[in-house]
Amino acid sequence: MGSVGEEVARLLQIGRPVFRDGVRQFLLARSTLIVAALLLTPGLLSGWFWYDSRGKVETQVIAGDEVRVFEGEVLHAVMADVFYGLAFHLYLPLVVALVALLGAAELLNTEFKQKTMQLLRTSPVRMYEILLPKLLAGTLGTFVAVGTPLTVIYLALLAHGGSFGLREHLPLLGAVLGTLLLASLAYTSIFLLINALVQRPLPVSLVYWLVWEVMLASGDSQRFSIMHYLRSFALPRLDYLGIVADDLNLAIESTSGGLTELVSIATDPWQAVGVLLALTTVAMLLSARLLERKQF
Amino acid sequence: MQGVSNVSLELGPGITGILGPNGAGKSTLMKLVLGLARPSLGRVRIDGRDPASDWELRSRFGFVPEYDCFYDHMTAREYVAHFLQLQGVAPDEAGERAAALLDDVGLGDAMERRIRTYSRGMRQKAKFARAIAHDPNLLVLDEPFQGTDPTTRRLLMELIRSWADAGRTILLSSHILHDVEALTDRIVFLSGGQVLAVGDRHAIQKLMPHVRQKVRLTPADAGQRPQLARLLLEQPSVEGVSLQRDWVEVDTTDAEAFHRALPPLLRKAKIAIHGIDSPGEDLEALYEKLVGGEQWEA
Repeated sequence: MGSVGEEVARLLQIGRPVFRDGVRQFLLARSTLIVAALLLTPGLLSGWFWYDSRGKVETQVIAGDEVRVFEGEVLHAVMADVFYGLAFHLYLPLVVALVALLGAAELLNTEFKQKTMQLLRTSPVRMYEILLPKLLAGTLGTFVAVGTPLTVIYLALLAHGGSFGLREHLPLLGAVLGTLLLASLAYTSIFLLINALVQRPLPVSLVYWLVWEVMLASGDSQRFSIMHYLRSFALPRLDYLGIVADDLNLAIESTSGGLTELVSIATDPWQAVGVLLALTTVAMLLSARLLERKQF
Repeated sequence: MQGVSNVSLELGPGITGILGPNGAGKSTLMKLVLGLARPSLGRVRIDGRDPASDWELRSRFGFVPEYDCFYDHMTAREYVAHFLQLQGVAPDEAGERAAALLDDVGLGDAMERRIRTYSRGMRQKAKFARAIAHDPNLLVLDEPFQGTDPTTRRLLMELIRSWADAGRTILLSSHILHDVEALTDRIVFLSGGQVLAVGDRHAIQKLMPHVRQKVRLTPADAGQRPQLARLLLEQPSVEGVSLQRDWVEVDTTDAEAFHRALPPLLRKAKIAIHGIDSPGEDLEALYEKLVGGEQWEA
């Protein structure tokens, strides 16, 4: 074992071709392109709205800012709500996991299908030197595949609010992209682990996602799901929109002295990041160990 | 996967051929050597090191599997360069070395094409180029000629011979007897996961006393054939004798004892022998003797 510097240099050297090839493989996969194209479709809302509201949008100056108004509604606030709903109730809880699932299969299961894993195992590399760049490729691939349509949708929707609208809700876009990055990392690591663990990873990954991340991600048990920590990370960043814990399913009913109230069970955002990073690390260590010990 | 048991082999520089029918355990044995499988009992050592756990040792391995093992989206040059980079070669140098090697194996004009468009023979060449690109000293070639045309087969054989001449250790499996016979005399016969015999074909025959063999004795005087036949039948190592027009054919299950007893017997009977040979003493005949009736087809 060399020094930390040598290990890092080696990891960069070995990891570069694996990462580069992984990103290329992920982003050029037919499934990724189809999903990314489908994810853009909500952007059509913008076109529909433009058609529906043509000639009816007024510009008002409020507190020195040019604000667009449609039928008495401040457009940038309406569009921000639409974008928030799409991002936090459709894309982040449902779409990201599916894209990461497909990506992890593309990155790791393909190595088994194409039997190149046996070549990797007979190469002078440790499995984490292969897995880490694959994790990064999967994370980046998922982030780009989902983040690009989300950014396009943000621009398409908030453009109705003019330049003020686009600027005003950059924190929302930041919260979405930040949460997306964490989601891409955590889900990719879990799905890589499933790919290392079983021969048919797609059904197992789907069952995990449906049972663990969708069905479990409510009530108190959600603390065992990735989704809980993603929402916890996002919550304070959405405060400016008036989003509270209950809006993100982060509140449970608590009865005390006959009084029932909603109590936030959100985890501290930086603790949430810590939990997700720890989960990723454990998943990677387990995956590397499984692959090192796999017999062919 | 066919398991292997009671396999004890030592490999040195040069070519060692592993022969056996489908399911004999050839690929399993190779995977054990490469560390892709671990023995439940016993051990595999390469220069005293365990290939299953010693990842640095793998820089000495070159592996040509019997199956296709390509990244569909890569060209041959990208493919060879990719694995060279995993050996620690810088990207530019990896690309140059990959191009030179592919040129050497006759893929110079096709190296920028995706491998999925290649013919079977071209794929095999690409696998060879990847396996030797990092200059390994142990080459494991699993059915390397499978599906190749005669020209490619000849080229690959020349390459294998040149690597062996350079002092590399080459472990080569095949179910095609002629291919192994053309490359090496050091042969391991596998069947049902067990080593039936190891050595050159002559040594193997000695090692297999229970195997029925035919020995053909041609007396200088054909008139002495009946006398010779009677004397041979008295030998405990002889199972049967048949008189042919010019020779006497002996069935023996203990060739070594038979060959030991033959000279004094001939001297005593004053019978001069013109020739002794063993009909069908090629690998095919020997293998059939060893495994009896199993099929070779891929």
